[in-house]
Amino acid sequence: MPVKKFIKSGLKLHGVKVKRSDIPYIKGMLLAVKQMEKPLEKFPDINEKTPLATIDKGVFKHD
Amino acid sequence: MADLEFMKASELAPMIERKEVSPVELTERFLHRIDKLNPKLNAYLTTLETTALEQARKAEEEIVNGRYKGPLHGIPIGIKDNYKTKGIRTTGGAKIFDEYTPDVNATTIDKLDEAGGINLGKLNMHPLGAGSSGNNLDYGVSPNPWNTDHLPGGSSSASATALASGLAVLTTGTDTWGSNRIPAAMSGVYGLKPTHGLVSTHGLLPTAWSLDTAGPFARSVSDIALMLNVMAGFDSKDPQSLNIDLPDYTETLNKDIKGMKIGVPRYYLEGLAPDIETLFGKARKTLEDLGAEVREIDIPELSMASFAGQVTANGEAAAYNYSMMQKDAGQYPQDVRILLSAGTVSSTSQYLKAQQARRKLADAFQKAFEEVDVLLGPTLPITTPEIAKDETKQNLQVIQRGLPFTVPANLTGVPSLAVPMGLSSDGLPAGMQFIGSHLSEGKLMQVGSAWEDTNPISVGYAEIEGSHIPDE
Repeated sequence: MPVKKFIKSGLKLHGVKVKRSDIPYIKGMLLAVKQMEKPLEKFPDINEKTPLATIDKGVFKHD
Repeated sequence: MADLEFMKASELAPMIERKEVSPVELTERFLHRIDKLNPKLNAYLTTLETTALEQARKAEEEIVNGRYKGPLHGIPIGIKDNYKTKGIRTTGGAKIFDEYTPDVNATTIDKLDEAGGINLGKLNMHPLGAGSSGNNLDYGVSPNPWNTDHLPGGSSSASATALASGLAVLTTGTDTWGSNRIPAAMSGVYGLKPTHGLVSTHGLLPTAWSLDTAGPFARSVSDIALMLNVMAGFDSKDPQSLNIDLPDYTETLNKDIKGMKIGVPRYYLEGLAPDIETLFGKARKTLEDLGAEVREIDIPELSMASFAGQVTANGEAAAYNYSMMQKDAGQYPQDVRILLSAGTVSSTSQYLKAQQARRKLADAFQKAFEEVDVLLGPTLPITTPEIAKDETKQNLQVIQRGLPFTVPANLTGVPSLAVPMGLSSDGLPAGMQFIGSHLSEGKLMQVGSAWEDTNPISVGYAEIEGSHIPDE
């Protein structure tokens, strides 16, 4: 799906009205993130890592 | 008494304790400067003349009656406008919160109040902390006092500009992906991003929960330490707050750094602007002259930091603002709306991939700190840009250039102290940062104060363009 269409339909799905003038910038951001993701390919063991989720003091009853 | 407005808290405090300086007169001097300079510098979104003077009179009475509370007693402080202040509007720098008046204080506001600090007002910032340029499409920019055509850096833009222009002795900031360190670099002041959980984030308007930290800004490392002594500490209202014994952060000030091992990640040497490369090279040499052992190290995982930081920040900010975006996305300034929109359409698998990269980076940092005491890098790879017409585009550019340098500390929860590095060829400040392992703030105060003693910026704050009141 073209990025522009993806942005429009994605925001619509979430009930957010999109301004036409925003689309080039949102597209730029999403493409930049795709570029930023590339270095992850250099770390094939990344799936061995548990996501760093926030398990904080609020969830421990006996701290 | 000349230039009281540019003195450090560590210099003013003994004078206040000895009753040589009156908190009321000091506060009046700052309010006068704010009155004269704020129309140009737009640093304060809300000025608190009446309550600041009430606090100052109370402080003065306490001190005269022998109830001196400590180094922040009677010291005028500016507060970033994403700290909730009871009965005082708290905008987060965005018009959607223009009329929001909290009925509680952020925990750190209570702490500063108990220490006798005087709240001068609420400081301008990049709206909702969602930017690094420091521009503000809602309330207008607080420009860089060194050259008002240039950006202040963000998001804690006016936390830095107010200090550089003598509009506060100390200020507070928040740092989600560099928001304390970037403006500190651009305005030539000091800013600390503390260890995650060391300073309560209860009562802050969130930008991205897992990255947000609250921290001090000052014109010296000694003042950062004084302020951290007050701001740090366990808070049962903050589930991420650390319940630990705290040191006195002033204890390591002015200790030499002979033998300290400083690691420079090679990743931080790539793509630097020529001025930054030159200044950073000189700084490394100076640190070696002070007796530190400076060596280059490899942390290849840093290449994943931009992805992890951008996806985490966009996603968490989009979640916090989700219902307001649905109600009326048009209320947000465009540059913020872009980040929230990108976060809204991004996938949860991408977010979790970012958290995997984050753990990998955290592991790599832990390993690095087995080899070296602190890490060192430029705060930004670029010099301070002029304010561009297309603010939205410029904000995205500054974020993307800055992220690899600043967001690793947020992703891994370690502390980072931003210090001025020198002046670039256009006369504007540039900065660098010392990054430590978890809870190594004392070590950062040690190396930061040793660096400060080398006088990295020879021009005094009182001499810069934005500090001059035209008719005085």
